[in-house]
Amino acid sequence: MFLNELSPISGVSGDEKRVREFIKKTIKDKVDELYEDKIGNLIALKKSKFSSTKGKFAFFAHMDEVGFMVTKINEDGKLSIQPIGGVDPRLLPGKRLRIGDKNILGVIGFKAIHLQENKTDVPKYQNLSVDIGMGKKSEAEKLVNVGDYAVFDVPFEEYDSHLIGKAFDDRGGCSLMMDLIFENLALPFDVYFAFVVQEEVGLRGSGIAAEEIKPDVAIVLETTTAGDNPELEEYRWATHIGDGPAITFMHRGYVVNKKVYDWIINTAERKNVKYQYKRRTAGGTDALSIAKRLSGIPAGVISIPCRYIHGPSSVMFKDDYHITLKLLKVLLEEGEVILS
Amino acid sequence: MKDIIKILTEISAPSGREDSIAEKILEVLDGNFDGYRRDKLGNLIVWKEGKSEKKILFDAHMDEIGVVVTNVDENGFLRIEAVGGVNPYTLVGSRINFSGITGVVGIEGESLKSAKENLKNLGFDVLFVDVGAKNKEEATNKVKIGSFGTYDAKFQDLGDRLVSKAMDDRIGCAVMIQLLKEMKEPLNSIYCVFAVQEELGLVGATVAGYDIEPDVAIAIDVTAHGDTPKAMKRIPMKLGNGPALKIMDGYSISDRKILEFLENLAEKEGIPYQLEILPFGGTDAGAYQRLKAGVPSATVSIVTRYVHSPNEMVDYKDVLNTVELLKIFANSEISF
Amino acid sequence: MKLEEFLKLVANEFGPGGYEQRVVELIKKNISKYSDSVKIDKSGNLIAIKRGNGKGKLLLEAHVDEIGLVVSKIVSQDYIRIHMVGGVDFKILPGQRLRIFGRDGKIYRGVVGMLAPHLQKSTERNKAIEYDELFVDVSMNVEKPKIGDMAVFDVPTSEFGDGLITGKALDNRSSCAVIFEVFKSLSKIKHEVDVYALFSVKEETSGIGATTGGYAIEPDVAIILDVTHADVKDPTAPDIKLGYGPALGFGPTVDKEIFSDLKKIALDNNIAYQLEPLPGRSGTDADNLQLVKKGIKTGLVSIPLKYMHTPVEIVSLKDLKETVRLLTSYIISLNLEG
Repeated sequence: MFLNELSPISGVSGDEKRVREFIKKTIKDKVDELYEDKIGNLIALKKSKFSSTKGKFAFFAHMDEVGFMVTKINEDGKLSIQPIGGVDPRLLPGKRLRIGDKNILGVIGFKAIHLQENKTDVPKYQNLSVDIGMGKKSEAEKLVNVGDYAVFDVPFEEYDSHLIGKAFDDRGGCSLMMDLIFENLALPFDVYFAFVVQEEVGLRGSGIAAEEIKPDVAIVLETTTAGDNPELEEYRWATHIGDGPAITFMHRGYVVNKKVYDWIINTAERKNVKYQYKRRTAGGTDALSIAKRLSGIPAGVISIPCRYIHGPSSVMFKDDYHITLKLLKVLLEEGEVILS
Repeated sequence: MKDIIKILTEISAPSGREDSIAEKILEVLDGNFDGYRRDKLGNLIVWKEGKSEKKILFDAHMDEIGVVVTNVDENGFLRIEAVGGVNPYTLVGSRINFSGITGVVGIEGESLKSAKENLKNLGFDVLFVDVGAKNKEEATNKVKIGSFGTYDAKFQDLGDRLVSKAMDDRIGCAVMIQLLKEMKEPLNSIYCVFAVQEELGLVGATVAGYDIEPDVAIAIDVTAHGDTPKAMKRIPMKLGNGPALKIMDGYSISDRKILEFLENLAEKEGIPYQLEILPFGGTDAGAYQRLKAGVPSATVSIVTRYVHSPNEMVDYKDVLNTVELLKIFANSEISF
Repeated sequence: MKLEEFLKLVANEFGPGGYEQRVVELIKKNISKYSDSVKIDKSGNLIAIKRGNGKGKLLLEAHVDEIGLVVSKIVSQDYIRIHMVGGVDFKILPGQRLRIFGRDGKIYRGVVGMLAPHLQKSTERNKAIEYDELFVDVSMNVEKPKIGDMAVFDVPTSEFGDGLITGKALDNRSSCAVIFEVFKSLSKIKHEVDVYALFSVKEETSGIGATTGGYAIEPDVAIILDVTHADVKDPTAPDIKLGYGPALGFGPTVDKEIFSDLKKIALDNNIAYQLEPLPGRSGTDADNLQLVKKGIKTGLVSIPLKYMHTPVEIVSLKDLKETVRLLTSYIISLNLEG
């Protein structure tokens, strides 16, 4: 598992270079081809050992995470920020950020509770600012630039059975792909691994990678929201911790290709791998943009359930990760079914 | 042609689950084509070779709106979410057909006040479906999570007016079938795309033209009406006034040259037609116009009352006139 | 023709989404003499080419369409109903004069009317008038407009203040005028890259022209020219002001190298510029063009503009001229061989 190394890296949409360099460096001796495309997607190929391969299979996971951009340096030396991807501003008060290439520390304060006239004031980007310890615009400008990217400044933590960290969405998927690359499986066909950019700002990088690879079938590996908490009735959970990978039958804008969906479910059943359904249809994944490229690419989605995604403290159950990895391995062993 | 409309509309095939309708279309076509294929996303593409070099793509989507099961509770009640633009109000009092299993829709309400409130702000989160099961196991044996369903409604012939679920867009499919049947030797080659997953965002049409590279694309779909009591006052379309040539909708503006070409054809041949402005919604033309270096695209609509309900109503003469107009179009020398 | 004259000419011309033929022809007529070839493609885009020495392909893109209105229903001899083509705020409509361009070639007049305030209930009087309550009075025309005819605001383009211009459709005819001016200067300057100008259609309604035009041209580098909001009061909005030069966009949808090249050119040549951080998408044709085929490296240069999508948009001539200098210098510096 590479999540411990991947999670702390800063890599907001459009600024994925550090994640890309880490992955490149780590997998370069384990793959047959490795290249970067015009928009910054990293594409790796593991060739089949067999001479007569049936087609191309591709996995996709996105390298980018949600975060922030500095949009203005104010006269008082504080920074205004806007979100990149969906970050609820109510998460921000009292958090630390790391800003720009120099990793400058910034804190987000909020008017002290004693001083608030209206205690139910809702934090919005318009009434939040980042304090980098500088009292003047000219001083702040020495440390940060307008346009710098920022992420939550939080450590990765590992316990017996759980992991806590930022950016699990979708470094979890990236880690799964790296594990598959390192497994040195006897692949029955060529397998591409696309580490893509800009998912969080509208599923942007994946379509270009798909056009580059031209796969016959694609599986998107995601980290998805788990709803198993006391504020939500069970029937409203999208997924939950502890029951293995979540399989998507439909999400925003796309019903998962029936052949691919049936193949995933049937293989899991037959090989006795625990799985759950992704039970809400809101939200989209790169499967949508991949399916719509070229003359159509059947695409499926498999996700690791994870609590509190898009926040500084996502919680993942290790077993869910490992069961997901197991499912992917069986699918690869049985993959000829779907390519034929 | 009414028989074909009845057969097509009564098939249950929501977005992403179009195999049954694709098979039925092929059966009804009865060999009236030069070739066909299902593409990678499931679009059914049927063609007839013409004498000219030009390729016309006609498109009607074969999916319909529906629901999908997202949960089954301990007592055997199902939770559902929408597949495409299903108005939850149309589900209240309706039956749902899950591949032969019937479900009825209920609304939560722990008090009279909350029942009233739930009905007022109706959403899928307060609806459930009862398939007559007494517990989770019995329900799951009938309908699994991830099962798709549609309205359970029958076709009815009211004379000039026809009523059914899924007129959107089986009526367009019926028009294309009739075109293929009636056109023995078209001047231009015609490719009829029976597209998948239109209701989710033009999924099938986005890829269907990729290998065909047509010179022109015409989507045939339903559109809203403005001719019932206090209907939307900025919409001009009326049932029975002929095929509606779309100026624009929420997704696309019809190519001006095609629009005016069709207008002139209708004038010349004495086929009634009307002009359409739809302030919302969209058709597969929105996808074809952005294909590769661009395909000039337009939409010919069949005005339909009560779109996305179990009782969509069309005028039969509008349907016949649409077939007539498109037939002449397919046989015209075009310069697009 | 001077930059401001050309801008007035094209801003006054009619061209909402799908109905850009008049303005496209107007630009074609004027830019032809500075181009090696000019054509209109199947989507209606105008493409002009100024050849260099074949050392790569640079695309300058600007959408040519404007927001507008369409006749959606004929109510009576005197009245019609309308719908917007692109994002037209209904709040600016009451009392507006319109020019309605018939598909038959005739031009009609219209006045946007509403129920007089003293006839409205007091509760209604504080609410904005939405499309469903608006109507257009066409009684003054002998012949009447028909469903599908499109309208634009009937306002002149005027110079005022300190080198400012106000009028309709400055979004994005300002960029069209800049490209025209760049082509004029290229006819006198040696450059290595082939320069393609794409005046694209239907941006305001769907962004189609840039996608299809970009697909056919497949440039090595593309610079999108559009306008951006100036003097926004929101505390998180970037500081962009009228008269301080073009805004260089940067963020996920912009290629980092192109952005830093443009910035360097501006600094080296003492050209005024401003920065426009773009978290997420840019809301311009850059978003679509970047994703064409296997990806296109895109830069974004925006002209600051106030009161976007109204009949009283404002731009600064200085910003337009600085944009011309920036692009011309960039083109001279460019060699994309190999």
